[in-house]
Amino acid sequence: MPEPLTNHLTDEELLLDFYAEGTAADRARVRAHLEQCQECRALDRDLRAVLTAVDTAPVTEPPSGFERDMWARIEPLLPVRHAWYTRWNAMVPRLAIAASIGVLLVAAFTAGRIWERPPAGSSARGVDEQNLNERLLRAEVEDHLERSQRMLVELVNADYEIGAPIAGDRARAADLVAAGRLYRRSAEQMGDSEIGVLLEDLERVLVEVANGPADIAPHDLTRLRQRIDDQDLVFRVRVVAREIRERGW
Amino acid sequence: MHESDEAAVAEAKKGDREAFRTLVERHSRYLFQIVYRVTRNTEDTQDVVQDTWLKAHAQLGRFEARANVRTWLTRIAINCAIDHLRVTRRREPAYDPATFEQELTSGWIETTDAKPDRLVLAGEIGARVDQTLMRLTTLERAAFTLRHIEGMSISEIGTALGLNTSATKHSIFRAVRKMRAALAPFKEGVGCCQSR
Repeated sequence: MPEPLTNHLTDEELLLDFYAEGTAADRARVRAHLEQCQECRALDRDLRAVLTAVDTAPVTEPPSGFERDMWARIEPLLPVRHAWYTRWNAMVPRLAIAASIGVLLVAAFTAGRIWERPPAGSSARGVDEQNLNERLLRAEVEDHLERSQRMLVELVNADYEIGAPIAGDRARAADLVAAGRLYRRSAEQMGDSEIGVLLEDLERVLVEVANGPADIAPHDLTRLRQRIDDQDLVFRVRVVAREIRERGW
Repeated sequence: MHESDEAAVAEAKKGDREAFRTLVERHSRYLFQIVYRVTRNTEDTQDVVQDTWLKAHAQLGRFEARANVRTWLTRIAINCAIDHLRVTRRREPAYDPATFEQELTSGWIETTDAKPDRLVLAGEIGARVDQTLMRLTTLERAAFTLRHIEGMSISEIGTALGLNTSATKHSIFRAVRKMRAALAPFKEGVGCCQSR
């Protein structure tokens, strides 16, 4: 008559056996025990039933039109290589646009026309101008954040082994730094500290790119990526850009 | 529209945006389902799928022609989901063993009377599993999902999540214990029993 088994298998041992983890010896020991122990066999059967039940969980479907929306989201963030884009960039420096918007913003803010509701009886023309300024500014800041996000994403994702990613980006980073400073000043004047802090953190990273060597060393790129990651910079830029887009500034 | 994924990747490598668009429109729904299992949040999932495509685009040069496109995208998506979890975990309360035991004994998922009809029961079990996955900590959910659904080994999961083997195992064990406790009211349906 066989001796009764006293050392039953644990949940953990059964689970590892289910997933075929552990050594061949471990598995053989579990198999041998199960052959002799009715109690452990029942436990094993129940555990497998639970794990099988997990497979019955409903699959969550994405929202309608998800594929189209996803393309709309990523398409502007993909690196642009078209010649016309390069020429346009050369003809119309973004810095000049940003500077114009910044001046417009500061002037309008100083005059108290943008961020305060107009008094009752204001002319329709005044309201139209205000709305236009708001839309213009919002679009520019959102665009600035998206371009910054695009650059951060490229820095984080670029494959260093097939080409240093920073060589051609210093001018772009310098452009973003200069524009960002204007927007940051405007945000601070408006008392929007969240955007101000974000733009400041962004600026610190972009300044490193703008002032760095054309051929960045791997360890410097790693450090830069770590900094972007530590500050959750891509995530924060994305969230703020989304808030601006959805709710306005 | 490119007929095969491989042809679309080959064209996308040359800078053809429409080819890349084909891939995005063909695989985004699948990637959403994969990533959602880990994040359990629609908005986070959308962000992770977006990151997946941006990373895939940046790594097109590394894609080997003989590899399977969907497998390649799945691997990138899981890595992006893990990166995302690392960020969200910083905002999540630390694991508290006392709370865990309390949850187990108090039945933190409300119980329902399991109905005899098999289809209804199957639906309720599926819903309960879904609800339980949602209630796991981010780490438990990630470790369990990667092991159970994606089929990664404990060693691979540990490396991906930055955990040692023991911590990875325990995350999976805790997830399974919670799942068993949550499914206990459906014992007839799934054969649950109390854990030891």
